[in-house]
Amino acid sequence: MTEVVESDESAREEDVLVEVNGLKKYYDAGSLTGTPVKAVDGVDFDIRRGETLGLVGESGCGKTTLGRTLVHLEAATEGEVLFDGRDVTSLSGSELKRWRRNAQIVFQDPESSLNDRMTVGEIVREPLDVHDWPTLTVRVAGDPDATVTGDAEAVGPTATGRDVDVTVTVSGDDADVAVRDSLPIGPEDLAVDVDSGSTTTVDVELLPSKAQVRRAHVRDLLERVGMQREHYFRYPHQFSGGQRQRIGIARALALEPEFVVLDEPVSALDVSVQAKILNLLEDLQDEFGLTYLFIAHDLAVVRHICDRVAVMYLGNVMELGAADSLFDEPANPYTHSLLSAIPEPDPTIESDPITLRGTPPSPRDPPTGCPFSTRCPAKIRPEAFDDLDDETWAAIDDLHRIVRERGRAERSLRERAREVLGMETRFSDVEDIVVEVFGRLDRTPDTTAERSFEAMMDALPRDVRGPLVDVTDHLRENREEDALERLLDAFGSECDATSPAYYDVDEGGRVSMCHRHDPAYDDVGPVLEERYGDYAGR
Amino acid sequence: MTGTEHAVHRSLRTRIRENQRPAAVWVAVLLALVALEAGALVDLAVVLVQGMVKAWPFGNPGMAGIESAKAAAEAIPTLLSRETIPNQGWRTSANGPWTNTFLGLEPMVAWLLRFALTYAYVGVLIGWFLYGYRLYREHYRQADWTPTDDVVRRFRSHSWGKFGFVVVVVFVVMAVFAPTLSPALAEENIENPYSYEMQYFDEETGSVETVFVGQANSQSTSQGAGDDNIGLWQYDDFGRFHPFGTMPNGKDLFTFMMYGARVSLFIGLLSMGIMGAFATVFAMTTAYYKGLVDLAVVIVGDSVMSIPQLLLLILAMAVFNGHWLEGIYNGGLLIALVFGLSGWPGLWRAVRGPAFQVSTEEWVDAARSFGQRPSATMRKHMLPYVVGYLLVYASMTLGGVIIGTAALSFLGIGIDAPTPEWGRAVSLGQPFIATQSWHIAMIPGLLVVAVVTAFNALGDGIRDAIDPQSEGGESETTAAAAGGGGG
Repeated sequence: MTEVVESDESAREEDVLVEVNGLKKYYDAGSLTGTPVKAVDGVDFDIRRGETLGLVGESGCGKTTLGRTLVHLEAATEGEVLFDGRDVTSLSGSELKRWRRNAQIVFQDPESSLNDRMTVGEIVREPLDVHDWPTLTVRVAGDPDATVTGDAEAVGPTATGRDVDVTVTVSGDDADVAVRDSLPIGPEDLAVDVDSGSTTTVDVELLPSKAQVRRAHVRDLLERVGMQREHYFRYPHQFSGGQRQRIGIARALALEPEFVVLDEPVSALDVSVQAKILNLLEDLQDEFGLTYLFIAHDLAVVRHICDRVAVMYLGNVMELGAADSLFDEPANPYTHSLLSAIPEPDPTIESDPITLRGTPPSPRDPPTGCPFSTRCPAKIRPEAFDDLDDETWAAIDDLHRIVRERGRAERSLRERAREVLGMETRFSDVEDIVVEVFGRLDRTPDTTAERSFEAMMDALPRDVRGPLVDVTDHLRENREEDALERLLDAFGSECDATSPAYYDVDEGGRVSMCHRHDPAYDDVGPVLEERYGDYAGR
Repeated sequence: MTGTEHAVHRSLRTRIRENQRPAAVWVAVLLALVALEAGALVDLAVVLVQGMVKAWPFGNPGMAGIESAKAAAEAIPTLLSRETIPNQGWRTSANGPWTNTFLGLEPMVAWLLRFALTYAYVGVLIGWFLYGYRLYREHYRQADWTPTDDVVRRFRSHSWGKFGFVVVVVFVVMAVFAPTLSPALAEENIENPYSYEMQYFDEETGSVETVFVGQANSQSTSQGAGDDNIGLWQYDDFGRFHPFGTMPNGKDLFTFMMYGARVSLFIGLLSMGIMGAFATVFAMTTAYYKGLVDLAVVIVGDSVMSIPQLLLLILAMAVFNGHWLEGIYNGGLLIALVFGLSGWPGLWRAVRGPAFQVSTEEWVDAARSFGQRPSATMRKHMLPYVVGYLLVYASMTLGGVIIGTAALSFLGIGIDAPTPEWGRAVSLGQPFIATQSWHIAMIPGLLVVAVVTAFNALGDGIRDAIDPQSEGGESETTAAAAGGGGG
């Protein structure tokens, strides 16, 4: 079951709409001031036509950036986004503009996403004006060579669905005209003139003005998202958050996109409204055959609405698979931790969540190896320390994070000067830190007593004490890099050394990024059980 | 598409066609009001064409035709003109009736009538436009409510802002109607007094005499000492009425003030226009593109700001001495250009913050996500939120420009005589401030203060009107952000 994913083409057989390959988005990449912020750091996944892919993770993990990059609001630093097999990261100018019709975004904050100076109608209509909608496309049934003139243009015989606005069936000089359902016009609004000479020429003229068609379309949309047609001339000020979000959804759908990024569309809303908006989104998906990327941090919402879920951490996708199996049997330690953090509504069930210690590392300086290695509850430990207890390990991991943090902290000129002069700085209390971190361990009966650094060190096992003394020495001399190297040298493992590959973790094609899936190590579940016992979310 | 769909959406034209009466009445009254001043409007157009032809460097084509057109324009009867209500006349005998004045009224009454009529006319015109806005809201607008309604409502309840608005209107009317409001024409009384003659009743000879205006001026001076003073609300020996008295050289101070308002307003508006254009374009582009564009404009703006404005003005006046640019308005155009080209960084900095704030709103991202052009995004989604701030700072800066121009004229390096400028009146009257001729410096000084205060008050009013948070005097720190709220 655990096996490195071959980059086979089997996944392609399914109807993939969006394929993301090695996508990276770095900020400040070109600046002189050092390392870039790696908001999205090499992400691969695909989104199948008609499905909802959830994207979850903590704040700042890069999920919003990823969503914005997919709709080309941010330029990708590296990698490609294949939309219907075509790379769109390099699009620009009129090609980009044309593509934008296919991919739209619904924003998180309905207060900020609607221009208060425009009426609802103007807001929803603006995309239509920008793209000079409707650009009527005509398919002449059974005659691919027919010429189309007038207000419309011809499409090839292979075009289907929303790519064909009008179908004209020619019989002699008469024409049978059919208009796509979701357009706000009928055959009576078109003057179709057929001239069947050597080649058939179909002249299509739109009788109402384009402005009329657009307004009718906007009113249809407003009705479709649960507003009223009369709201056209109202201003966003006059609506509640939920209604404003409906307007935002109507705007995103105005150009009839195939793919919609929903950037936390309900997280700014009242709980009672959230469900209504979610149901609306599901209805619209069924009606228009939409493909969603649903970005959220509310796991319950994600489980409700998503077909598959990608779990992101520090710019990387940690686990990706079918929502149900991912929630029922999480594979990745990070997914385990996230799920165990969901509050249990039943107070009689006693279980502890796996508490992730510390904060995520800075995306400017992600850990070498696995991005989750600094906080992982199931981190692989060197065999030499097999008998070391969990508390000591927790302390070592804490120290590891502190050393990393100190290495990153900027020293002001004043602090440098004080260091040189041997004066007290905020970086000088090395022993206090070590006492603080390791002093919590319950090693002597007398825990209340103030323990000296030496006494505490003596209480530690010998093989721990040695490296720790070195680390403390390095820190005392402000050589954080050496300290970190010594720490990893002594206590590090595969997790700190190499970035894990994606492993297949179930038959449904779920993948997870963790060394623990390698048969050489124990898998995540048993390890967590051993370390945390009956933890929540299992 | 259904028939009702067409019916619900009607253009303004169809809406008016369906309910013609209010619009028709409004337009008819407006046309009648305009017709009262038709002669002046045609005259203005002809004068503008004439000015352009004069400036044309290759001869003056069609000058004769323009002259005749001008004569024809002057023949059109105009309500608010010196010809309709003349105030310059003379007595035919001692204490005899006045001739050549309106209905034989004494000059003061005739002038006062014309003055009051002018302001009444403007008042009615403004009132009519406000009434038109109400008609539009009631009968023709499709939205029940727009953010602008709130702005108007807040401004209406802002007394300080309304005070500013009224004083600014008074000032603008002074500038626009200067020839009508003045007791005498600037051309005759101030600029070329020795080219015009006037008649008066001479008590010594007991007959009506003719004299050059310049000669009459030299006998009507206000020099502080003895009888040498024509003060407020006085006649001089030549039967001329001086509402604000005369200047040290005997010219009419009120006429000087009216025409001076014209110069101040011209310089103020032109320099504000230049500053506003630069500030708007730069604020929009820097806020939209950020990064290098912003840095470049910051550097350019700081460089411009580092140049001392006064030195630059003196330099420009010296360099362009004798140049045709310096000839327009006796240097007025040049001053306006220098103010405008050196003052925009201040205005730009004032609106850069709000512009950046708006540019981070998600609706700007939304516009980008469906492919809106950057220029359209700036115009539709950013500019409306910045334009209020622009108005506020522009009205405040305008006061500064007026005071700056007056200061320059006071120092003697601004607008040269004989073109009237308030600052020069202050300068001329300064030696007499402690004498009975105190009015020469005091009245222009007070008017400068009043106008500048009024522009600041108007700016305050606009700011409070566009900013819902400022309602009721709450001192919210988020007030800047809420500038976007209104309309």
